[in-house]
Amino acid sequence: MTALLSIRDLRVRYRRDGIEVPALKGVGLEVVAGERLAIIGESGSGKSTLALAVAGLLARGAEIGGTLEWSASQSQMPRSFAPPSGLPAISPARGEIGSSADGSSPPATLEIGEGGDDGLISPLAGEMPGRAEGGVPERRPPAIGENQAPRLGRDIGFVFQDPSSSLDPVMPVGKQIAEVACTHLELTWPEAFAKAKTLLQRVRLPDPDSALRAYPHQLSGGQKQRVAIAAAIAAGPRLLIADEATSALDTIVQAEIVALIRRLVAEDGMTLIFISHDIALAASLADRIAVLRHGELVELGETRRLIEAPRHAYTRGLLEAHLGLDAKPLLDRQGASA
Amino acid sequence: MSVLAVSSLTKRYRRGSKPFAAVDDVSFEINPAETLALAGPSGSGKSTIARLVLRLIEPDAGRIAFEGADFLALSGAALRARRARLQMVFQDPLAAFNPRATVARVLDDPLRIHNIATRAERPRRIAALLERVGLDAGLAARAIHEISGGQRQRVAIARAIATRPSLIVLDEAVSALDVSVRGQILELLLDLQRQERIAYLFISHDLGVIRAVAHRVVILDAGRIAESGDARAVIADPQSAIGKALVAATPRLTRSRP
Repeated sequence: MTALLSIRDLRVRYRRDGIEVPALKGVGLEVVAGERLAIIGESGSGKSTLALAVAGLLARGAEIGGTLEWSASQSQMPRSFAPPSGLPAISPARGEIGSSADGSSPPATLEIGEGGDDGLISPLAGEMPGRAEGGVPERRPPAIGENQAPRLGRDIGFVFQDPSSSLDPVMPVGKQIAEVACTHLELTWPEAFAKAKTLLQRVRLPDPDSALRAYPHQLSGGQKQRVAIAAAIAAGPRLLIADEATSALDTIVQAEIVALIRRLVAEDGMTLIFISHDIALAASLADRIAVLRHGELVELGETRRLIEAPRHAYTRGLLEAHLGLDAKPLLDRQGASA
Repeated sequence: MSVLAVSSLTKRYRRGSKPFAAVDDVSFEINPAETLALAGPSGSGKSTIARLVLRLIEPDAGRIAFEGADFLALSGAALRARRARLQMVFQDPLAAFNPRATVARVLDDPLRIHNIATRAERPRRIAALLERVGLDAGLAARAIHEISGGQRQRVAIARAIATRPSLIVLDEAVSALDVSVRGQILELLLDLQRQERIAYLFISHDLGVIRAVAHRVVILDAGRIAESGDARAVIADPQSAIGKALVAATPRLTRSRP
């Protein structure tokens, strides 16, 4: 068991209306290379904050403490990659990075890349990072250990809940996927476009040739999420983070997307962090489950053990609150007391 | 007699230049104190049916009888009066209410509009409504955006029951809630149903929730009824292709993993 990512004492505080709100209060866990780890919790548990922190996507103004150690030494990137000089300098000690302003004007290649990324990662609160904005978005990843920071898009693929807001509405989806490949894999545009077509086939979009030229609004919700996944894995990231990636989809499409994620993760040997509010869905996919509550890790364990013998009362509560197809209907429970 | 009887309801839209039926010849009835669930994938017509029943949109064909009267024939004052008996709760109460309004204001509106209580009586009625849905009367002065999602959905239910309805349309009303809060809201709905004999048209994509609270279920596919019947029986042994697909896609905690 080698850790791809070690999270130690991760603390995040947001500032809202002048009040500091803690979102994560010292969370520590290791993400094992090649595993499917689910992070579950209710609203306010910090599960999305954790995902955003790992991806370096926390909104400006978030205060971060603790360390994230990324094992880039085991990197098995398809080819060596020189990080663009425009990347913000990362102080190895304590999290704070020079903001994007320090990077002065980013190189042209980076600008395209970030534009593509922005298309993918737009739903940050309070930001409208349209393509026109270009440049490096504000990112404040926490301290990274001895190795260089993982780069979003190249090392980490991120799939958001709402593909309608994570895809650029005025750019053909093929181009959005190709941009990621072009930026991170040093491909020529025709190569990147061919890669985009292969990716659309891999995510099983019907008729990839015409899908390449389709705009997001011409696709269904499930198809858009397939496109977002194709873009997320375009550069062959080692870690795929799916943040409530199926929550806006209906049950049938959700099951299809979960199956797709499972297949792609297995085929590419990716590590998966699957963020969900749904303990049953998480259990159907994950090797291990981490339960967060109010910014703290309350339980972490193998899926089967955690489901069958939860150690923490809160985990038990989540299991009891789950209304499965074998649960005793509330109608009966009520009828008994009536 | 049924509270609501829908027959041959049809609503067509255009997709580009092609007409298609969002709701296609749908018929069902709901009895007093009964919960009828509408299930189906996205685009199956669930929410369109809800909007037709509420007369937020007009059907192209079909009939809607509400409390025995031809609901589609009503207009003006008669429609407004009848609407007091037919209420709704949506998925996102923050979108349904003015976020800056106070809880008291949200609950005052139906009491005033439907002449249910005089100005002097209303504060007492509002306090009673809050208590009925398990909220502290002190919450009345708070703004909608200041209270939690679960509290907001309780306020939405309080508002719905303020006019003593015989039917409440619940369109994904618990879908956005945390599971712990969801259970409490479902219990509240069942309790209200028992006490007040309210019927629910319960729209959900979640068969687990439907099985927990609904008496009967109608499964829709592309605007048509694929199958219907006793909720537990249908979910235990679905006959239609879409019913089978929905059941198969529902995550199970006991499933043995590959």
